[in-house]
Amino acid sequence: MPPEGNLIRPASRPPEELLRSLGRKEDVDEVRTRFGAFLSEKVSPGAFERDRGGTPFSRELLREAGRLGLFGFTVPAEVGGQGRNWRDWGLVLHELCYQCTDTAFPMLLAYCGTVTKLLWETKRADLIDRYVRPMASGECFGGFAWSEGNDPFSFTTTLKRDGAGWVLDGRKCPIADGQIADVVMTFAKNAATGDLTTVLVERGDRGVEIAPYNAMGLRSAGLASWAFSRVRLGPERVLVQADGLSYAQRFLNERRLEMCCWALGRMRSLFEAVTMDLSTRIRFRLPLIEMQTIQAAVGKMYVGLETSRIVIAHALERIERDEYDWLWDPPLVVLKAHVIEQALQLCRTIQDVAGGYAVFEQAPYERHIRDLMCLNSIAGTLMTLAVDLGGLAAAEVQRKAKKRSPPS
Amino acid sequence: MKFVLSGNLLRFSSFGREVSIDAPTLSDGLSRLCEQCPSLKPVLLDGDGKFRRIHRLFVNGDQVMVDELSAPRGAGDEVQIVTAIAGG
Repeated sequence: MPPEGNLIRPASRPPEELLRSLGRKEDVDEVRTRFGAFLSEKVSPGAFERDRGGTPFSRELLREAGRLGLFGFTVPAEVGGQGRNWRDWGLVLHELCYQCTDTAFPMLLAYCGTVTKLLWETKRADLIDRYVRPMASGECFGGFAWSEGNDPFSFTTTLKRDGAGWVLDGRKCPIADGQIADVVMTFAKNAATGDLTTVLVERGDRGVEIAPYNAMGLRSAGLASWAFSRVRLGPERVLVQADGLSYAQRFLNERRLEMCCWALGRMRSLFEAVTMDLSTRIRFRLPLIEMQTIQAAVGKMYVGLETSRIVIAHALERIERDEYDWLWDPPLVVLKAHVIEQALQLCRTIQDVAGGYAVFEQAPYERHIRDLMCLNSIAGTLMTLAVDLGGLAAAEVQRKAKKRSPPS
Repeated sequence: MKFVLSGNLLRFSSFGREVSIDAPTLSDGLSRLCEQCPSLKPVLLDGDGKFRRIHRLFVNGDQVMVDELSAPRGAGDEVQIVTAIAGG
């Protein structure tokens, strides 16, 4: 007997739109109201020229972002921040990237914001007064001096005791905002212990030499190298005496999540741009979008976009529930691996369907594709992350198999 | 106890996957493991001699936290060390 009544029940609410932000409409409206004019009038207009010239953001522009609260978004109001949570910050990064045309802008905000937050977490009054407050207001900018091209056990930047203080020698390259940063968290091998110690080095310290080191994308962030020649540092500059290695993972873990939030904003804007482009470009008397192969390509791009949005929203909810390991959180690593792979695939598909228009510098894709291509290498390459995830997953499978069948 | 190493850690144990150590606690076992395989010391232990937080320890398949390192362990225990270190 078939059940009685209508099996096809009407939806309890109107169907959701396919293209959505990370947040609710009222959250998006807040971002637009607070930052929309600044983005459209100050950030976007110079994006093309900054990229072409490898010119970093001006301090004036960044100061204005600071006055709007964008540099201290997640630190408390008592140190000059906005005191907002991760969910709000993820949404803001996403919307900023979607609404402005310089991908390096939200990247820089996230990067500097993490340094500010880590310094605030020390609860040291001297660091809060000297760095955190001016950073939250956009008067001072922090950086993360980790990379040397070698694994951390092969770092050659060294820190030696010098009376009550320290002497630093070596070179860090690249530092994402090295041309802008006033102070960088530097990871150096402690000559006495061989361990990584984290120290704060300021732009004006004697013996610091900064040189631009431009990349294929994200060029307005101000990538640079910092060389250290007998830089003397007082004991107050030591941030983490031992196990700087684990401390660095704290920064990288957070960076992965932030990166996914702003990258999704750029993916969304690119998806909309290319879909409109395909709707107006004519091939054989038809708009390209009417061809099924093109519709399939758009559909695949959409799947990448929407799955990325879903996993990011899930990650933000996990963090709000305090369910993460900031030292090395496999779900956050999976998140980065998935979202960035989708971003790279989106770039490849745009090149497939837009043809030459994907590579012309005056067209709306080329610069953004170069920006997104940089994401593979930030906070662990996709290959490095896959190695780590694969190793951990294999180890877990082996442990479980052994538990199921103990040795006879 | 028997330490089982994998992944990047193998390079620091001359690719020895299993190392047997006679020790009453994990803390002692880790110290002796580092004496036996000196290259492992800076990888596993920080400058203060503490186990780095970035690594994870499993005894007979169960994860052990750093505040449990001094608990007594048996000779037949199998200790797995896994690690994940990404760059910037």
